[in-house]
Amino acid sequence: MRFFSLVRGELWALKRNRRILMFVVMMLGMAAIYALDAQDSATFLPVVLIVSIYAGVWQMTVNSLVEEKERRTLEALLVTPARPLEIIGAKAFTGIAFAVLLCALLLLVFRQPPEAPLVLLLGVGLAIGFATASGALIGIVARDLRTSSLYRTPVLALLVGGTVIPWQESGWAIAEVMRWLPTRPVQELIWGGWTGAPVPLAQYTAVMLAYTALLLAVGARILRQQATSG
Amino acid sequence: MIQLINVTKRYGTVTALTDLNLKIHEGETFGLLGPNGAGKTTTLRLVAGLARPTEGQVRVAGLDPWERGDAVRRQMGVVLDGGLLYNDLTVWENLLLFAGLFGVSERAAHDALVQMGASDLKNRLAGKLSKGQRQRVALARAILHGPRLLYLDEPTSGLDPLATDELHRLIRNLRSQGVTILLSSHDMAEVEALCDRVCILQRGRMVACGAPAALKAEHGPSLTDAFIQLTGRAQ
Repeated sequence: MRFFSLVRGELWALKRNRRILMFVVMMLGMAAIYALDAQDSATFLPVVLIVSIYAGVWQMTVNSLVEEKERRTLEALLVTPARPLEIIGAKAFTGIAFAVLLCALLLLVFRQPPEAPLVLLLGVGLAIGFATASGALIGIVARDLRTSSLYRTPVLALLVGGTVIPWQESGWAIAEVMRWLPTRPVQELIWGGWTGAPVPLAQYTAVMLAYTALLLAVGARILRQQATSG
Repeated sequence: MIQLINVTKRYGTVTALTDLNLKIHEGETFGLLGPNGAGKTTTLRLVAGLARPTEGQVRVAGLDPWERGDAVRRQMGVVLDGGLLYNDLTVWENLLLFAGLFGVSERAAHDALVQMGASDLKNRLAGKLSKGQRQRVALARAILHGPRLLYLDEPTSGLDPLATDELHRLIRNLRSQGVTILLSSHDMAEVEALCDRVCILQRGRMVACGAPAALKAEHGPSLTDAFIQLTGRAQ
């Protein structure tokens, strides 16, 4: 009940959030331009999806949590029976729902049906899971929007850079580092799902789940420390 | 209703409260006075179960707020400095959100809004309200679940005299219904007008506690004089 009330509150705020609306329009516009080039859609689709997922989920989860801290509305929530985990969970849930909807719209813009839809779904799901876990962690740790940007910007640059830069042509060391970034497995999964090309499903899934589980564990530990150090 | 027994609270090496003893009776309006950093917010955090005393015991309605935070917060309404409403939500959405968190009906939210004379603001965005209107809505949000204890932090800070007078009337109305009120304020006239008893904190220590009239008689012609004398002496 409390969780659904919190989610409802998030949705009320979302419908008046012009930044998010602008972001959706921008991503759909970008997808529409890339979709015109049907031949290269397999290259662009993973990039558009990954950027949308990371930037979208992070905007929802991190901004919403950090803004609550900045405006002190979190204090008003904490003196109700709502638990911190429910508050973060509601924000994460809204972020996930938003990302799923945005991905569905983006896929519609690209128009062609994917060759291996389940693999594509797996890639999208793992990307959303990782983005949510990392967003929640940044939201828990950051004190305000400025510090959240300090954490988020370099990580986003690294993740998006890992997706768009043709790192395979770089030297051995760079290629090895890029190979283990959390964007790489999901990019390959989405690409494989779109084109039907074979990808190491189990390996990529395990890598992404390990990253996500690690972030969730760190986030939960910090949250518990914050709660019990009161 | 509230009891703090030999409570000390430290954050790392900083001591926020030292050996505080406080007993607030049911239905009483109790003022918490003190300069910034005196320990008023820490006292609220302890009472709401958001912080655990380093030493001593806190009891609210017989419960330990740290152990039974959920049960304690269900009996508590809080209006923090500035109202702290969600600016992107309408007044009604702000109330419905909290009604859901406390598990009460929409009817209760509506009644609270009517009681605070704010039903005409229902569809307005909270971010567009005047300070006085925000405080009335924040008060409605704090009482929608029928709390036995109300914590008010600087409820009339920045309000014009008319809005202040209106809010005082609403607070007195709640008091007549038997709600225990814990009022934190810098406004001596407000404390004197509303409170049965007052506790003055200075650097985490209680320097005086009693009825405003008794404090005035003992420490100065006015409560402000008494406050300056007591907190000045403590420095």
